[in-house]
Amino acid sequence: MIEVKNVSKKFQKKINQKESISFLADNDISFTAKEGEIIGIIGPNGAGKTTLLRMIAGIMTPTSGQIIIDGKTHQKDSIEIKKNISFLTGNTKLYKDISPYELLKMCGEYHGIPKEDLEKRIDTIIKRFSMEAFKHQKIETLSTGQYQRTGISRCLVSNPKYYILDEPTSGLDVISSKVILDFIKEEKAKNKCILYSTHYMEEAENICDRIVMINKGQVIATGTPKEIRIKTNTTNLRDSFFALIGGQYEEK
Amino acid sequence: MKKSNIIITIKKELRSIMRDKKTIFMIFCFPFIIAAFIFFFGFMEDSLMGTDNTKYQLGINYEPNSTEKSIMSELSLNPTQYKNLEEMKKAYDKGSIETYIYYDSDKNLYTIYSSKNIMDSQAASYAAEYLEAYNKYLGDLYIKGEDIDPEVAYGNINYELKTTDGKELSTEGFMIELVMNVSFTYIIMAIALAAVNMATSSIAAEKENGTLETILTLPVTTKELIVGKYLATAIIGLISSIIGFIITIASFAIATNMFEVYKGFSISLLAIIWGIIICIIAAFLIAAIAILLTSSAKTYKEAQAAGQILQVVCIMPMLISFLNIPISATYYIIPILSHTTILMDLYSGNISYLNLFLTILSTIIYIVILLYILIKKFKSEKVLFGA
Repeated sequence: MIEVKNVSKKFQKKINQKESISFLADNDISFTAKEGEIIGIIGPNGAGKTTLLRMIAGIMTPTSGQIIIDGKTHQKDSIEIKKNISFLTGNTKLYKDISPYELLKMCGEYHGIPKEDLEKRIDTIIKRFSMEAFKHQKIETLSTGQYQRTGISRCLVSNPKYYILDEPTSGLDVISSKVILDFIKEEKAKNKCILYSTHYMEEAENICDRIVMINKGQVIATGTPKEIRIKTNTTNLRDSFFALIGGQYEEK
Repeated sequence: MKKSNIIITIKKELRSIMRDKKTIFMIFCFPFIIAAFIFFFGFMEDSLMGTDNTKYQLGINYEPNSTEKSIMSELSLNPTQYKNLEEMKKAYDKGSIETYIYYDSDKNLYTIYSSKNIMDSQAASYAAEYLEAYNKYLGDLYIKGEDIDPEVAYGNINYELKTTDGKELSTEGFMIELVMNVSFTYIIMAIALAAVNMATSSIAAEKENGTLETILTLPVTTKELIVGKYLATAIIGLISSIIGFIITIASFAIATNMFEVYKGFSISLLAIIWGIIICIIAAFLIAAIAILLTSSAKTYKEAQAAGQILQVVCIMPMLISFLNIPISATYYIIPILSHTTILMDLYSGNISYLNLFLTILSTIIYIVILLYILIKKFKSEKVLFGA
């Protein structure tokens, strides 16, 4: 289980050569995510979604608050936690000069998977995503679809308990988005926990079990999509969002 | 720190850099510039000194006697007799002669004609040397005719040339030293070029491409990652330095038998071993500096610009050597300067174990300090994400 307890993250932002101001990218955020659940972290650009997910993945440290994953914290057991997490962002960049096979092998080696197991696992993943034809091709030569499949396959090597997906469908066409959404559904069926951030509210409404709605670094609503709609007396999450912020939106 | 994670990182970095043709060219081809320089310098110097059996064609309008012929022969001058100045001028314009001497018997005046072209002016300087030598010979004859011993007449003062440490000073030694200085500076520069290129692609390019974030989500600590990247950079610098060093020594060994200017150059096995050790520690130090300099950069371009500082620093020892500042113990604790200086010492036959100790110890201390700063720096989110 992932427990996010009163997490805040403060950054310094330079406004000119001499002056800088501090601002809270995330402010007192709390929620939990259990196995078999898809939690949608939704909000507009600049709401603090990426910073929150980076903190959960352990690549950023909260200024205050606690993130507990299976009773462990990044401060003490970061490596153990990372072994159970896969992080995928919409703009995840892969090494251009290696092949998908080499990428999967490298990720597996970092996870400490024994050589024989790793080879079997890579074979299974390559078959699952139909990557046989391009598995030894340099990543820079892959098409957008092949690149996308390679990105997802990387997350599967370690067979993680938790997936942190930061706007994975951002900028993708319908077919590429479907590959990702199908992958999410399949992993949920395997009782995996998925934190899914997006600014496409309709997408979140269709796929997520529970929603954490964020604006300007603060949680403005939590619950199932239905609960949020009822609470805000709206018919979809987009309207719920505008109802919650009073129709006003200002990008940070 | 988990050793396996460091090894995976090193493997990843090396595989990536070995697939980059530009870097491969830099690592393996740049040291050949040193060889080209050594051979080119040897050829040029020998040509200018006339020690490569070059005969300079000299035009004259008089019949030289046997003494003059012998002096001219010693100075590699091959005389051809012409009737008058016009004939000599025509021969010069056609390129048959490189210089000519016109003797005006009325004025008893010899005039040497030439151009500012390197070969011609060299020939003219030999022609002047021949006239001076012949003039001295005539002077000696005159003195002897007056029953004076020329050795007594000219031997009022005696002098000799020695180095400050009492060894024989020769121009040849100076030339070897000059070429060695440039060659060793090139070796250090070769390390810097390879290390900066590697450091840039392993950190700044990863930040710019967004792959650093991906790798940080894997079960690997920033310490393991940075140590792996540092070691990969050091290995690339090391390969470059060893190639450069071997090429330099091999070039000198071959050039010694080919060119007069390198006569007297010798290499001991001990000097080669120490030279390799110095190259190794220099590669590890320069790699640490390269990573530190490029680590704050957010883009590949910024990192390249930062790395150029290191490349400029690497030329400094050569420039300092031209200033003829007396070398003190302090030289051996100044990074990069110490490495060029100690390599120079080794190949001049002046192995000082105290200076070697100072160089190696100071380098190790610098490496430890730089790595400490580097690991600390990489804990900062500002460095990793520019946050």
